[in-house]
Amino acid sequence: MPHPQHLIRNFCIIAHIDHGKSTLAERLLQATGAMKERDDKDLTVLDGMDLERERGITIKAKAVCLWYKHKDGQLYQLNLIDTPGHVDFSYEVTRSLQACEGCLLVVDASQGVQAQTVANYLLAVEQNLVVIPTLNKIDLPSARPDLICAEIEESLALDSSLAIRASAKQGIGITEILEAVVERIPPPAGERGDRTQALIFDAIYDDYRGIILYIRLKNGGLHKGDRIRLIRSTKTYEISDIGRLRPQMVPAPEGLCAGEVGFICAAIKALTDVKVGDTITLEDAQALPLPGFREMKPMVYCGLYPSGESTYDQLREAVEKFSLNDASFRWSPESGGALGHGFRCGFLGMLHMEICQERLEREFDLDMVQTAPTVTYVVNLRGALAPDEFEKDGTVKPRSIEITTPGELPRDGYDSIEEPMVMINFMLPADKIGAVMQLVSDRRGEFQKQEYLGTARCVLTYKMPLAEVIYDLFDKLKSVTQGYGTMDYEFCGYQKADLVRVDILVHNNPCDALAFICHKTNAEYRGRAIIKALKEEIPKHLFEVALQAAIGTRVIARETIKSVGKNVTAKCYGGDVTRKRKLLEKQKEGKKRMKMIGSVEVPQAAFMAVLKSRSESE
Amino acid sequence: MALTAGMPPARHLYIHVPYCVAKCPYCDFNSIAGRDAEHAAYVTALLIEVQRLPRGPYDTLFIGGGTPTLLAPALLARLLSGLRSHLDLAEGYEWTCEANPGSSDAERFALMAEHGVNRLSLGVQSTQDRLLRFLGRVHSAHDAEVAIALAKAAVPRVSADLIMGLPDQGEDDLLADLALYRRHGLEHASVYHLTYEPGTEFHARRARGELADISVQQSRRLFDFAWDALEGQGLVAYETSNFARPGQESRHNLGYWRQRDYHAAGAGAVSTLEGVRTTREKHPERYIEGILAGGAAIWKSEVIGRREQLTEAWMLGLRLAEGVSVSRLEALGDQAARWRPLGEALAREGLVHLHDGRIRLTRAGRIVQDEVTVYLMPR
Repeated sequence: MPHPQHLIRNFCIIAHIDHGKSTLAERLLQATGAMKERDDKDLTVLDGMDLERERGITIKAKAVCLWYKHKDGQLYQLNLIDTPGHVDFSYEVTRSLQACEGCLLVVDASQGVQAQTVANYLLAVEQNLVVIPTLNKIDLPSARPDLICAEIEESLALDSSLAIRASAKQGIGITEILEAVVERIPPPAGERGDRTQALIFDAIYDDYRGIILYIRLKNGGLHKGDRIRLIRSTKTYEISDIGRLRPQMVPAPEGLCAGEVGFICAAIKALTDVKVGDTITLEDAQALPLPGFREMKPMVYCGLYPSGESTYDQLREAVEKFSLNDASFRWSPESGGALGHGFRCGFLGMLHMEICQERLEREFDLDMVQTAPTVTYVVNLRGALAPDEFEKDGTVKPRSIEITTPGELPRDGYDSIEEPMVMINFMLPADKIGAVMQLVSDRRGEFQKQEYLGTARCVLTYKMPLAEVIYDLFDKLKSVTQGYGTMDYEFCGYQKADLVRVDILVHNNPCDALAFICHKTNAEYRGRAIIKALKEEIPKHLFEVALQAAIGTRVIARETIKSVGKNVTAKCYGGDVTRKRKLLEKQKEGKKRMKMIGSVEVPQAAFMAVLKSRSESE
Repeated sequence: MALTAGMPPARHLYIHVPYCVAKCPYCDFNSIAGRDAEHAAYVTALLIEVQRLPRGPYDTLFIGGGTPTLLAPALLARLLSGLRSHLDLAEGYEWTCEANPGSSDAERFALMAEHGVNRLSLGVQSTQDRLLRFLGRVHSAHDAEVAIALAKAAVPRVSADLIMGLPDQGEDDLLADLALYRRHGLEHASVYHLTYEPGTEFHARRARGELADISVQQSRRLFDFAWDALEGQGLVAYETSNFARPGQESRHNLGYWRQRDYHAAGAGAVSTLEGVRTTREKHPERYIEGILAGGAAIWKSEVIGRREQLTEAWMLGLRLAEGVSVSRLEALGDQAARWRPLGEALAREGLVHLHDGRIRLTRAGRIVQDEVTVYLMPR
């Protein structure tokens, strides 16, 4: 017997990082018996991966079905859907929100509304969700609930008199939250008799079960053995397993009906065959796709190369395996000249990039060198130099290309370059406004608006190039606001800009891995910073090493590494050949983590230092 | 004999005599003072080992030490005639024996010449008595002069070793040393820069701060000085520390530097045959014991694979004026595409020449030989 639709509630928790979402989720599980009281282990159920726990970020959304006996005597099925908590994953957030009718908006009672709180709140409102404001960490001495309530009202235009005051840690307010979920959030709409529409809001790869889809039934129903079609990817499968998550997978022999949330397995081979946001329907009674689907497109690219003891083959295997578990991670083989063979990898954003890199290093025990991240540029080719204007079949060839690495930028022969722009919100203490405005306008930000939240805090909105955001903005924002500033951004289209490619030459050899694209006005400054960093890291050679930054043939910055004060080593006695060889091998070994750029030995640390030179500059 | 069967032929043979009157404070060779009573047993063991070697013919034979001339004339005669009867020497062979001025006399040199030794290498080290004392040598400058004259009278080819770079050594001292070759008409010179080798007394004294390396600038000056002086006398630097009138090079040592195979016998002696490098027991007592018990008295054996051969091709080849052969490198798997850009960078700095399919160090490069080698050799 399917559970009555009016006794189902689907909700999620949205919060800024560290505002206590995971702890709250855990409490809700305990209160409804889905999880035993916390034992010694500090385990947060919804955050499956080590790294997520450490970072306090939930990367992949999951769902838990809670059975809750309300004071009205009825047994309710509460589906708690976890959402990723960072800007890079905002598309995934919207898909999770689309699976719900309501959400808990968790705000830290001391820290107040943050940029991300606002961003996620707006997404929730867009999806017509009922929002239950919740103040968390109410037990802390630094909590200022009244002030924060005022802030919520001002910044979110939300009636804060309904805010629940809670402490997930102390178990305060948990019952109130569960009651509010039942009473304030509406049951799911949808018709169980209609053609089946189920939203895929997440998918993971499991070593034992293959691909697992997380779904929300909007209309109709699904059962084991059904032939299903994934509308966008046009693939068909047969459901081999279907059920609910408690949080472990519990099969549902009766199937899932409109309004319910659960999982299905269907012998799907690759995560790339699954698109989050796609709609599942029945093969023999097809329905229309649900709205809101978007192809996830990487916004930030960088090169990953093996280093130290790790080999290309090891990295390849790791990247292949890794991509099974992260559909938004893109990769293709790339040759990086000095760096040897590696991979060009695409990410949703900077955080996604960092997480992927850390997971690759940790889960596969790899040493890697990462090249400077870059965004995807659109290059409009110049007519005369564009390749043949027509395809064989007579259609006009595209006149613009997308590039994800500076090396792909034609040295000449393009009309213009367009770069991705973002709309970015900063939430910060009012006394830091000046510093942040300076920071952003130095990075080509265009002021949009400024709003105060009470007297102490404010929201600044700018339009700025994504390239500037990924360059060093987050680190810089943290430092100029002593850690109090937060930011959130959203892609808002491409815009032409006066961009140049800066080549870095080591002893007259251009090093692709160090080339970068930037605004003309920043070229000299950034070129100089890189060359300085290189000079620090490249050891002295037997000859002078020239370092240059150049735009085309024009050198914009230059440094020289003096030759080493040569050691007299011609002292050798005849002696023991093996011992002498071992001495030389040891000396060579000391240079092991070097990459050759032409005739110059460049330690891998130099590539890292170049990345670091960004956050240390200015 | 079973041990001889299957032992690969080689054209070079090294024989080691480890005994010395006293251990010099800078020396890290396998040498030991005293133990006179053991000498006879040692020669017996040595000859047993030699009997197991292929008969030859050998192009070069080298008796080194230690101090071979420390052996009593009768024992020396037993050793030399034993070698002679067990081994065949090739037409135009080179047979070198090392000798120290403090333990040399006309009798021993005559014995050597009589048995076929045709080259003597004398450990002169310095012509200044105060520096000889510093080096812990048992001979005086005068002893050295006498020894050279006696050697010249006994055999056709004589070489003398010098050490430079001593803390208290001036350019005048070195000049006086180098005049030795002209004065005696010697056609081969080995001039080594003092190094402080771990395990030596000098090394310990340097660690205590009693001795110090001379400055890099001074080392360079001395090298230049020695090269100029010797080349002025017609002695060409055919190797980093070795100089000879063309045709008078040590063919035995060239064999090492050209990575030829060589046999060996004696305590601590090293042979390299078909990719296996073998070191015998270093202590003469254990060596004698091992050999007399019918064993090979091996201390350790090491496989010299292609990788090691390649590193040694760079390391040894760059020591020679003739340099490293590109085709040899290629045969060992080191393609020009790898090292050529590196070689060219060094050539632009005047540290190497790339010419005629060979890579050679220039004089400027020779002074920083190890650094150049490490830079050019593969990982």
